[in-house]
Amino acid sequence: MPNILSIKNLNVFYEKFHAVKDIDLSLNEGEIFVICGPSGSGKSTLIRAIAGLEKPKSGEILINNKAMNEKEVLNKNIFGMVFQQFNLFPHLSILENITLPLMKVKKISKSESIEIAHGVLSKVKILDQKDKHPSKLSGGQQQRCAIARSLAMNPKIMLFDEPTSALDPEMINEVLDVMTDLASAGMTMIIVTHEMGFAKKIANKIILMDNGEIIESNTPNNFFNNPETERTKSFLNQVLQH
Amino acid sequence: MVEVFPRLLPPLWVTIKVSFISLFLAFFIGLFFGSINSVFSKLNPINLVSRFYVWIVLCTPIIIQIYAAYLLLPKIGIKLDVFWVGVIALTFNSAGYQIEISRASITSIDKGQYEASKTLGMGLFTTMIYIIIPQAIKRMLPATANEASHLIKASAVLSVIALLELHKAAINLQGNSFKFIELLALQAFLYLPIVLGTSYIANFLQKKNDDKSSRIDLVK
Ligand SMILES: Nc1ncnc2c1ncn2[C@@H]1O[C@H](COP(=O)(O)OP(=O)(O)OP(=O)(O)O)[C@@H](O)[C@H]1O
Ligand SMILES: [Mg+2]
Repeated sequence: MPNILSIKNLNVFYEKFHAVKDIDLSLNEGEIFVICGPSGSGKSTLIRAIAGLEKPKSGEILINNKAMNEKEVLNKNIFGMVFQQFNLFPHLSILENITLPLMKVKKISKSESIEIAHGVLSKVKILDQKDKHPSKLSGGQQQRCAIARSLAMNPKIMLFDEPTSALDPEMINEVLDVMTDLASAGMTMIIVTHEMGFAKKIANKIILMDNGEIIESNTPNNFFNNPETERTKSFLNQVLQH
Repeated sequence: MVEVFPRLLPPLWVTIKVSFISLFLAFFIGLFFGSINSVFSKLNPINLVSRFYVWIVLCTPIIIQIYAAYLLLPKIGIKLDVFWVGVIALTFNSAGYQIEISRASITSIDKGQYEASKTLGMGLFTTMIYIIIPQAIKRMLPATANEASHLIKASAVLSVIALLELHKAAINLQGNSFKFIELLALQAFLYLPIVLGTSYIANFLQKKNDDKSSRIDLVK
């Protein structure tokens, strides 16, 4: 598969604080890339910088081998971003959450937008909820709606920042199932998650971050069974304990 | 008393008109500068000017603002009917408060809303119009209703520039030897339904918007 995303020497600062340090990574089309690491290690900062939400101090982001700045990345809907807190628009119905960006950004007609929305909502299995407002849905349904809203924009790569961390345990699987379906359908994805079982199943590559750096980058099999670094071992011990 | 009641109805209508036209204009001024205030940095020139403006409004008595409009507008060549001088004075005053109301509501919207909107490719203008402001308006409703009731009552001060609104009309009648106390009571009785009506409309809108209907009690 051809290379779809390369990141070279990415550095992100918050004022003087160096949150993401000299990150290099490369992703082929259809690959699932999982980022894990302790709290404060810079996972969100990295994925947000990729999405165009944080401005890197230096480094390059190449899409299909073409360098792009945050503006281009956002304007061309390269990435679909799924947040821990869903960030649905509470004043709009589930359907309108999806049709509004289609109409305003892609300038697609209302009827065609509705058709696209129906398509993505049935993919995530909440078409029957389309006329409700987000507050009327369970957390799992809201997150699936957020995934559908991003998918509707037809991104090249889907980004997930701890998509199940705000969910009650019984709702985690319905979201992970949707993500697994997406992966099977060939979507390229970058996922920050603490769900290690899920990561092991779905990932093609997995990295451990700490202090803004990539400590280990490995295949899931090696990462879990035969990690290269002590840091990874102790991290796995911590997260796999409970 | 019964015979003066009809004579106070046209002035009552003037009070309603001058208050609601001013509230309406000030609402949009408030929304515009409130948005700019919350989106751009404090040092943006528009923000500096609007901060200064809000400061002037909040720190001076409304009667001075009304005299200022009445006396200064003609000096800069704007000669208007006293009704419109009243509208300008009240709009000037109310906009100061409504900029603050808008700014506070817009600032209270979660930054995740901007971020989601941004990653979907929506620009700042689209985001404000379709995502942020509609949510902020709901939150503004209680404070705006409060401001409406203040402004309706404050419009009585327009009597100082001889606008024949409710209070001025009552003063005139008193000159015609009607009893002072009774006229006061009658005025109070006439302001009451407008203020309560405003409260009722705000409640209705709030309920329509929101199932967790939080009541707005202007009169507690
Ligand atoms: N807006 C910000 N301003 C200043 N510092 C920040 C900001 N956001 C994050 N940081 C700091 O940057 C570092 C990395 O934060 P980040 O949110 O990327 O971590 P994370 O790996 O996503 O953690 P978590 O697992 O808790 O979500 C942390 O030390 C954090 O305190
Ligand atoms: Mg995070």
